Amino acid sequence: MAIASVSDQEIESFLRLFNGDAEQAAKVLRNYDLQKKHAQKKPNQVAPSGPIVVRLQDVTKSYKVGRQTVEALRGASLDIRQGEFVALTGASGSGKSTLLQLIGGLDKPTAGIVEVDGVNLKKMRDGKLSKFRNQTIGFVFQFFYLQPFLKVSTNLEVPGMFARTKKTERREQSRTLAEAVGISDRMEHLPRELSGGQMQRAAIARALLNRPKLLLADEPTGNLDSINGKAIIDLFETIRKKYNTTIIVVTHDPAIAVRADREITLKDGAII
Amino acid sequence: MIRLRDATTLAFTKLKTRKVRTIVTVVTASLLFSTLTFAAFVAGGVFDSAKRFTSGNLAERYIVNVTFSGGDGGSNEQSVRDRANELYPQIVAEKKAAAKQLGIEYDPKTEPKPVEESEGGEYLNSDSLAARRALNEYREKQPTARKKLETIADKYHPKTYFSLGQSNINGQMKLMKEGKEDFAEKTSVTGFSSTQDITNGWSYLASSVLQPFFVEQKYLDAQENKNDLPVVAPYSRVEAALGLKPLAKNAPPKDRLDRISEVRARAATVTFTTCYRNSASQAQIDQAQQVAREIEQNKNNKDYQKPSLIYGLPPANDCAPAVILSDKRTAEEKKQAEKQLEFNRQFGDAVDPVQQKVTARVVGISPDGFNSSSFSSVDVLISLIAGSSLQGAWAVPQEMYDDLPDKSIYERFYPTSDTMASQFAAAYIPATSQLVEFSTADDAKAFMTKESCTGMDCNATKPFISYFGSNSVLVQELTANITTALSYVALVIVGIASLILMGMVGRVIGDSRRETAVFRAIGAKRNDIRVIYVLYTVFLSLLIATATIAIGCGLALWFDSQVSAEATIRAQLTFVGVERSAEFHLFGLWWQALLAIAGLVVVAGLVGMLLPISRNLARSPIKDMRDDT
Repeated sequence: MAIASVSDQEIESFLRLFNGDAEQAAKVLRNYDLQKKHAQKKPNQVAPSGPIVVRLQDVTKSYKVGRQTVEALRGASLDIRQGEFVALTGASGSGKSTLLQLIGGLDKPTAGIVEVDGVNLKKMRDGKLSKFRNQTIGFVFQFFYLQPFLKVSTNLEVPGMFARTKKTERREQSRTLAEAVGISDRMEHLPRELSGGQMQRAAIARALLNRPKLLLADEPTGNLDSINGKAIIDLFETIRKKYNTTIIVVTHDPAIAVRADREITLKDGAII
Repeated sequence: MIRLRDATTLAFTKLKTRKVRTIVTVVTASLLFSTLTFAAFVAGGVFDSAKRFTSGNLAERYIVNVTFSGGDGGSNEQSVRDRANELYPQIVAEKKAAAKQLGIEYDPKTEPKPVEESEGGEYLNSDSLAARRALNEYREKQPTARKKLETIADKYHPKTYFSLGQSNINGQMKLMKEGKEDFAEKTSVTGFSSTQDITNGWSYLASSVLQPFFVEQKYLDAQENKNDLPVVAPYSRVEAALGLKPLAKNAPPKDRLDRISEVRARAATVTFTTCYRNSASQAQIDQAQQVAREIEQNKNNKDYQKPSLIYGLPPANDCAPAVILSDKRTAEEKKQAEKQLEFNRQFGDAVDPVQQKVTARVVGISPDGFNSSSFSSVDVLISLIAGSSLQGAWAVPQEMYDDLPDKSIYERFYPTSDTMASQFAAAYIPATSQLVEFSTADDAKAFMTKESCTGMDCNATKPFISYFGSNSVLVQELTANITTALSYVALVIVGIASLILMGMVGRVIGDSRRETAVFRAIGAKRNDIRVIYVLYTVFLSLLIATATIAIGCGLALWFDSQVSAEATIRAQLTFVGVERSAEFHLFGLWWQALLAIAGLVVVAGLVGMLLPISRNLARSPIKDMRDDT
């Protein structure tokens, strides 16, 4: 819909829906516009090249809530190739976070197979799965989850600590990554001295420390303003190009979805 | 598993979270544990001071005091009664013959029966010569206390036996104040007690055991009359004899220590002069006083007839026999009296008056016994470690006694037999004590543990055994007792502290669920998480341990500042041979105990951590992350 072709009355009645909040109305319109463009541009299909890093086969996940069984995922199947940037979208409760956690090995499917880098996660024991997660998967969270009393530089090294990487090596890696994400001047600060965007960059650098093949991000821009959100998406693009990392992002943000190679939408636990 | 250094980094940051809660926990737990550290610091001070004060005294010597109950000495034995009945006609016959030979009258009906009857049954009559003879025969056959001691102690590898003889004062002894006998003074005839005053008697002990209580040799060398009886006398008696008024309890410590120094320096100049009188001599004195009173009361009574033989008091500074003021007896009466005297001599009654001046010179100072009316906590504490068996004692060093130029004047007081066979007590005879020294503390302790009676089972063959003086066994035993007591208290405190720490660590771990979930997401194994929390708990515990030691140390220092002066005075009084500069402190480092307490704090923390961490690790990281968002 082109704004220029509508009448003043139509604009006024549209704004009334937002209690006169022009900025909010504009945001909705912009998202609508992006989604429309995206729908035209990105068909829901597997990228044509690269080995498969994530494979889900008929995955079901159900939870017991009281006496009721809730099916968070129903027969989900998908393949994601190396270097792909995938956005998982859908309404709240659609099962996208569940899907992300299953791929991340934080949870096990009720039925079906979850393979990451050719390994069936369901068959792995807890210790090995932790090591696999540490080496193969990086996590980025909406609320960053940095250690508040550790300097940024040390925060970045935490996955290396669990991997028993030598301190000198960890330090070198964290410096490189800090430069890559643009926080090299904030390394000696505590997280509380950083802005939201800087904190998320630090969290992304932390997730990349062990050079994972797969980066999983749960609403990474959900706690950031639009400028910082855009910068984070730019960063994901850069990372993908630089390290050929597969990136799966759970998001409500159409700006991310439009930038992704592929958008996988879930509804009521099923991929649509 | 995560490297220890990295786990330490992560664990250490946890201490910075929830600072107020951490401080409250540290303070609460520290206050609890500080009772233990306070006790450890005080005990450490006591042990150090005890070593300092006992060093050169009886330290490194393992001496125990073995006391055999005198019991009834056979007076309740049927065989003794039978023997007394058997001897009775024999004695009557002997007396009849002797009376006939001397030409005096003797009525056998006046001879006391050896066995009388009462509601409780038969008993020996102490007035009966037959009873006394039968009892002496029985007692002479009994093994001596030394023999009994050797029988039970030989298997514990004893090093030396010492006899602990008691003076045998069969009569009365009075202190001659300012060189004069006070005839009006009444004394009780105890004869065996070695406490209170020299007139009650004294004990004979090996010099090596008394050595710590001796005054300096230079003072002893300067003593004038080497033939005076050498005695170790209680401090307060020496002080009084020097004409020094006891200082008030609240007198400045310096004054009190100066007084101790003065008494020690002048003690060798002190002598105690006494007048000993046997029962016959005392009877004449009593008679002289009695008759003098009668004459005075009857001075206006024309009908009053004075006794034919009147005794008068001797000069007060002579300790001489009563003087005969008048003797109006006829020659025949005097002859009959002589014969009766001879008859009595033959049958063992003490009839010849004996009196003797005895001068004791002070060669050492024993600590005073505690005055129960002024018993303070410090007294109790010092008495625990300085509980000398010689408190308030009068003792004669055996070797010094043996070296006297003329012992004959003291021979009548020397114990002739440790069974006290010459004494007749209707029911009980006094307990006899012996000392035995062992080469090792283990032997001494084993002997005490296995051979000592515990109270009700004490008798003439099962002795009561206690530590003698303040020696190493006592200090070791004290250490063991304090350790045991602390252990029990520690158990209770660890229990309470574990609950507190469980609450604290549980809350911290609970608050860290999201963080644990994040760590798990980025690849931490369960063991990595465990290590981090174990280290966190150890750090927290060490923080508590440090605070505990600091608080305990502060309290102990304060306590020491309050009681050290009094304790030093008490210890200086108890350990006569120590340097004037030696101080008794109730603060010292008992490293083993402090380390053990620090270990206990850590154990309490780890115990408190077990439940929360196991619960935390069993949780789903997904749920924890989801709950947070």
